[in-house]
Amino acid sequence: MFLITRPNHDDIVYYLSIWSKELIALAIKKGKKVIDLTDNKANRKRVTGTLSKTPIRFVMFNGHGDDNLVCGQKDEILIESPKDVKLLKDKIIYCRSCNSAKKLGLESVISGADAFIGYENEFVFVYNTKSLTKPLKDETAALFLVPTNKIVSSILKGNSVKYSYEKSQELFRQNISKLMNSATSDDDRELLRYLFWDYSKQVYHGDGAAKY
Amino acid sequence: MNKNAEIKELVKARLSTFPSDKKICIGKYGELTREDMIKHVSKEDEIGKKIIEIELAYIRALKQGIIA
Repeated sequence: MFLITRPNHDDIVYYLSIWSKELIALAIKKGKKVIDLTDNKANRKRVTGTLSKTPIRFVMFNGHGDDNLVCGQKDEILIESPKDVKLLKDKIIYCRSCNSAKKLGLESVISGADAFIGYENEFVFVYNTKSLTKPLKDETAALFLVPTNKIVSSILKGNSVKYSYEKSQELFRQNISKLMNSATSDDDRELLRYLFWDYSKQVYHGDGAAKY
Repeated sequence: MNKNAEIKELVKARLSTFPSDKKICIGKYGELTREDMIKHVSKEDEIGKKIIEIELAYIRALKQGIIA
């Protein structure tokens, strides 16, 4: 079973939420049961209740985060280490939020999670202000969000954590190379430093061979 | 000018070419325009320090040939 959280209370998490829709569609196509906690459903009670009562194998958190926590709607803390990490036991977790690989990721793996993929510093992305009403058509945001979506789509297709992480890294490298090309506009070249940042801060902990 | 002030000016100069129709989302710090970023770097507050850290990491990677 696949659990995904999609808060949408500000432009940042709204973008992540919209970009996650294709992952839900893929999971359904692959015959996975999906629990989609979006909007006000992305709250602590629903998340902890689902994790403790349902046989979830794969979790994707979208939201703001910090070293030891990840948030949901209106930045309510969903999961916090060390008190909640036991809820992540035997699971594969991808946290598209800032910093959470640092402590939450490490401590959840120490407490029995199979693997945790996330960021050991801020997760950044750039978007085009003209695309706010149509985030999926935002080619700037796509440079950041396609590589991060790749982790989830690859795991949903049955690939290992390590393979999926490496595929995401490869997409980041491809986007970086594309922007370094001499034909790239000066505006797009400005994005390089931020793409490199996400690429270098994305990590995984735990069993790279773990699969959904 | 001391080294810190020099770095700050370098980062501000580089940020001045960030496209005006784009915003950057830096996690808990929210969405920032080019002007916001320059303001934070000038003040050298928590966000400004993070922006400087991102810029320096990129310059370092270029220098070390990690990206070329």
